[in-house]
Amino acid sequence: MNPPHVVVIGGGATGAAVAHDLALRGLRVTVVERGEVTSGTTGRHHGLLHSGARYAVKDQESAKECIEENMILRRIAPGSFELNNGLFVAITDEDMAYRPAFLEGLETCGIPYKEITPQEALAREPNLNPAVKAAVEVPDGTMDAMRLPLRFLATAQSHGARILTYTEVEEILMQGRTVTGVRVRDHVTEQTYTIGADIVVNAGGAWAGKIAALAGVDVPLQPSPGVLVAVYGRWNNMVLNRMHRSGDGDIIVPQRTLSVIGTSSWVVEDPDRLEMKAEHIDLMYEYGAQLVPAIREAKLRAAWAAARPLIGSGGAQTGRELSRTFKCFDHAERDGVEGFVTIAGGKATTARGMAEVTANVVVKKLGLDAPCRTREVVLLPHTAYYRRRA
Amino acid sequence: MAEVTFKIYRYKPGAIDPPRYDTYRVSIEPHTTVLDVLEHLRLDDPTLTYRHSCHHGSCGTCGMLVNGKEVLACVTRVADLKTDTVVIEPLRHQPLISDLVVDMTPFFEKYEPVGMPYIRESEYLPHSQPPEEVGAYTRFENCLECGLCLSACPVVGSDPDYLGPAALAAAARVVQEPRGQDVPTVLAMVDTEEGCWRCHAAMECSEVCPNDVDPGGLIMFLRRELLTGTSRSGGKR
Amino acid sequence: MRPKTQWLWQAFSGLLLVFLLALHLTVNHFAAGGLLTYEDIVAYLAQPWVRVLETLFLLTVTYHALAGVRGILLDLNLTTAAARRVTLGLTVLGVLICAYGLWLFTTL
Repeated sequence: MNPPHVVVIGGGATGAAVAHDLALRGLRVTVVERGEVTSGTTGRHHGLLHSGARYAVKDQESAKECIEENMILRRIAPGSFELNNGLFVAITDEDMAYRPAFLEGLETCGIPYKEITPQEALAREPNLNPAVKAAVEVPDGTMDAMRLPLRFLATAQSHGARILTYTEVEEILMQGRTVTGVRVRDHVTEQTYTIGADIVVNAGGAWAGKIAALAGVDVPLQPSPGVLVAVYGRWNNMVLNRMHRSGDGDIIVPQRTLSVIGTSSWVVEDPDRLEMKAEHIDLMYEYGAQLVPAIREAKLRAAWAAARPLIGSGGAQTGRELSRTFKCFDHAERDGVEGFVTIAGGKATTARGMAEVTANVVVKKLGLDAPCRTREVVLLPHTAYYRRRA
Repeated sequence: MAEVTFKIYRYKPGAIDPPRYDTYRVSIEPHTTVLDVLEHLRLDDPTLTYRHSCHHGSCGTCGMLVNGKEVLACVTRVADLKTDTVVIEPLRHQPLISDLVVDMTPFFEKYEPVGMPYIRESEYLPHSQPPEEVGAYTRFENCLECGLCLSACPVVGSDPDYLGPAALAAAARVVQEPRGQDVPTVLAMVDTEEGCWRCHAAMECSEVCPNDVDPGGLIMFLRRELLTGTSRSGGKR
Repeated sequence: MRPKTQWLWQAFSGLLLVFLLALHLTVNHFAAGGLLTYEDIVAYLAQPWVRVLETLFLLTVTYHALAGVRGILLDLNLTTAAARRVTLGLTVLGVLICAYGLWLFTTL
């Protein structure tokens, strides 16, 4: 008998990790993505492998997820991270007032840290604002936003998963209250066809709400865009964070030969209509310069907007008040729709953990006993994604 | 705000076949990039296909021809082109899938066997002292694997067996910083008729490279290495 | 010939040509102060060192030109067998050219 077939909607970090997890558990998997893989939010994120320190005070659930996944990813995806660690720095007296709560949060969440002197911080990062009053080192890191998910996809592919790009879901097929598959449009040929599925997983990220609506169900999702700015030059080697309550432009992630400053935060209804806010470019420069004054003179490479998929219902003002955690919805329990699961929220750092939770729900629904193996299996290199299929 | 005409190459096997150019008028702001324009057009026409991911010239996905020149669409501002008409076409010398989407499989078939590790030691801020646990700061390689160099190379255009500038540049990086790779094996791989000796030194690859890899210069470096044999030992230079 | 050796000879012959061509032009055309007569040329070529120089010039020009032609022909995406035939054909052509040139010396 053929193993059950799962269709995963969405070729971002989440969909890639879900496909990998399910394929490892022996299921037949098909990923459908309307564009190129990682062309939604995934590719555009900050490129920050979170230690969780950013959320250690206000969002401890997410912080704990981050540090756990951070350690797993370093093990299963060697070569996908710039080994540089992160530094949280206090610049003002207000920042210093935040320090005790910050250190306590790191302890509570189990995030390893080391406080270093301002002199040492400046020796490590000569471009850092010399007004630095305190500095805490944490296991943040720079990741390649596209190539890590490609490794999930490559490994999934090697276990038989099919990745269908430029394939957009037009309809979620149902028999009564049970999802039986999807009707997709292939944008290479502009033909439509159906793909049958035992279970359909909605891993649409910021688009998950739109996809769920096709099945007539609602997920409490708030697309929340932010503007990011990449400047030429690597002004710092460690990931620099402002030691204060998460705000705008308070992270500088060095990436290749660039430095990426981010982000701002607001909320939108439609993740396809983000409207890059030009005035946020100046804001990012201004805030970034508070961490690294030389950033002010750095040449702009690009500015862009990316939509975070945050869990929360209407009423959010900026998105900052919403948790970065994730949630898996089994729509059978919640909405009486069988065969349909949505994984929403989360971060690129926690994609593997999100996939584990989702795949647990999927195999349970299918009545299978297949444990998760993604904590141990080392991923294939990203280049393997492009290997010719036999 | 200015209005610009975009002529976009359209092709879909069986659907838009033979290829044609579709014309669009789009209002642009000073910061609008070619990729922003494509994203905007796709809202009304979901059949328009192109590759993109990071939107800041770090992933190398959105390579295309803009007014005949190989660029990354995400870091090409329309205003900087200083023309009223912008022609957008897919990269050359790579199999065409749909519209502006090319198949990167042949690129990676030549590139992957070289085995270049994707992280390297960072040469930025040489005076800074990395934390003990890290030892030395690392960063990703400059090559974005975008394929612009292959599109621009006249030899790739006529000889599909040529290893090409991207794979040769990767090989040179292994020779420069082996990081555990076997240098003699990599040198043997490029010391062939279709390897570094095939290059005609047109240097178009270095001209279009969006991240200063200088594949042309690295090919010349490989020739020097092979002639002087300084890396034969395979050890660190 | 290995591609590396071939490339090295191509570079070396190119460099040699710069000197030999300059020398050839100087003694044949500039130093003479105009067109040489047949008798002038025969007298010139009778000197042993000139024969050495012109022989070297002949060999270098022929090799460099034909290796260049081969490089361009290989751009036509030839099969291995066709590439081998091109190399063989050009080698034969080169040998014939040189043989003819050297034979001309003997007719003087």
